Amino acid sequence: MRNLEKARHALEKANSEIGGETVRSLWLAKAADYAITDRASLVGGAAVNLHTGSYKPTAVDLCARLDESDREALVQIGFRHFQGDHFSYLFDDGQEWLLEFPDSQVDGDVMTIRLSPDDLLSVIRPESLIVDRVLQATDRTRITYDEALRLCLALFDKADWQVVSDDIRTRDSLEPGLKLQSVYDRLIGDARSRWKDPDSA
Amino acid sequence: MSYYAGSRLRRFRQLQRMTLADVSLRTGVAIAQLSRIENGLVDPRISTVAKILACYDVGFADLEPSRPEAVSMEDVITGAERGARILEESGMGPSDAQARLDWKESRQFDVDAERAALATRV
Repeated sequence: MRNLEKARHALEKANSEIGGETVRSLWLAKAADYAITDRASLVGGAAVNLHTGSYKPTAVDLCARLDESDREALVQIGFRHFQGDHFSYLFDDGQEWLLEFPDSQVDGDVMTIRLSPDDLLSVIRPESLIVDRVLQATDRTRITYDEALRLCLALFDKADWQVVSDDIRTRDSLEPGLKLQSVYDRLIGDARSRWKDPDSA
Repeated sequence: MSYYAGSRLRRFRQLQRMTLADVSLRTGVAIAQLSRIENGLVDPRISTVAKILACYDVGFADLEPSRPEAVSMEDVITGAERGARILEESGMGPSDAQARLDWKESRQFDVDAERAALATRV
């Protein structure tokens, strides 16, 4: 249900200096979520940053289908609408953040983050996010490969790799031209050789 | 149908390693309609959804995602800090936002707004 009062409250939280960029991205996403009737899921770089802590997302990406009333609601709470489903928000400290809606639905599974006792945000699951980054890395460039490797490393002892493997195998069988499996095998090999348990020191 | 139902149906199809054409053949639902259903663009009849679910050997209850307990904000922050430490110790270092934008631009994406926004955060 659309709740502009809660959306504004979430933006106030995003504007506060507590918690840094990770927390800011989550509250910004939640503000947009409240404005568009509470049905969005966080994906993309801001979701990656929740696991790697070192990805400065240039935009907060949410999956949801917008209609005109949603776009108006986002503008009403303070977002600037500049093109299609692209928005920006100017924080009190001068930072400008972009908000985009690249897809209507999450390609994969979602989980929930409890931002506060009353504020829940849907976020793409780590395993689906890994598959998403492996898919990007099929373009065979260093930049996408390294981004996928960072995520694999950050989640090396946390992700359910059986779920990831099954998903990769299924997608590869449906679209063999992508050669997803070979990119994934290389990534896992690299992650294994670089992995150092941060809790063992 | 719930918001997630379309993507859940696609997921079931992928797990069964079936194409839209396979499902169409078995259910009698046109490929274009199946695609629209999976993308949440239409609100199909219950009987149509039932046919598709039967094809995957699952029930209506499976359309609703299981909702595990929510992860707390504290756990997310701890996880992000741990992830950054792992990357540092493995020699990967942080992601380079400028390099990512260069990569996007090389693929004909308009990244002017992203560059301008990023400049406010340095």
